[in-house]
Amino acid sequence: MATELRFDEVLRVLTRNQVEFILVGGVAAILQGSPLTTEDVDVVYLASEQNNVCLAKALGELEAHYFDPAGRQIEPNASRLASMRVHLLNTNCGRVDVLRTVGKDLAYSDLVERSRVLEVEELRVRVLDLETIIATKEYADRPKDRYQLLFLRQLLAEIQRLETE
Amino acid sequence: MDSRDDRATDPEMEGIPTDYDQLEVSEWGLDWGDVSQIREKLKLTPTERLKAAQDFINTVIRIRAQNGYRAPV
Repeated sequence: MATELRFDEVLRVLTRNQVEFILVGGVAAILQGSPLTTEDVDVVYLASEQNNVCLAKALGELEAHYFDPAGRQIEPNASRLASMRVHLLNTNCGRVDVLRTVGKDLAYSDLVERSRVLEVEELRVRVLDLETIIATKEYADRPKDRYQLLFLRQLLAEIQRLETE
Repeated sequence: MDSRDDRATDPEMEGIPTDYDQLEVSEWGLDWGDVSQIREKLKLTPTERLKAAQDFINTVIRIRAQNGYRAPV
C-alpha cells in the first residue's frame, strides 16, 4: 500500500508508456482550480488493443492490483482491460480508478472533444473540461456529487468572470 | 458571550463580519471563505495546483497514520 499519494507520478508513468487517456474526476478538477481534495486518480482510457497493452505495462510499473476486500493481489492485464469496464486499483502511488466510460456511458472517443491538454510539470496531460466534469457529477447525483457541484459550478462561474474581465 | 458582544465592545471591529450569516453567500450557496479559496487556486498554474493538493492530502494521511488510522488495502 502506498504511504504517500503521488498523483504526478501516476501521470508520468501513463505518459511515459504512451497510454491514451483522459484525466477525469477530482484531480482533473483540481488542475482546473477546484479547491476540493481527493485521494485517487481517475482516468478514462481508449479501449484499443494497442492501448490496453500500453496501459497494462504502465499499471505494472505502478505495481497495480485490484482493490479486493478479500485481500487477494490480483493484477490488471491487457485481457482484463479489454473485457472489463471498471478497474479500481491500488498502486505504489495510491488509488487509481481506470475506467472505460464515465457519466452517461461516455467513452474516450466521446470525451476527447470535451477535453483540453494542460501542461503539468514536464507533461502534457489531456484533462476532461470542467463543464463535462460538472455534467458527469450531475448524472451521478450521489450526495457527494451534489456537494462537489456547489464548488465546481462556482469555479466555472469564476473562470467565466475572469475571461470576460 | 457571543460574537455580537465582541463587536459591541471593540470599536475597531466595526464592519468586520463576526457571524457566518454576515458572510457573502454566492449564487451556488458558498460563503466568502469558499469563494476566496477558489479565487486563490485560480492564481496558480496547474502544476502548482496539483502540488498543493498532493501536499495537503499527504499531510492529512501522515496525521491519520500518526493517530493509528490505516486505510483498507
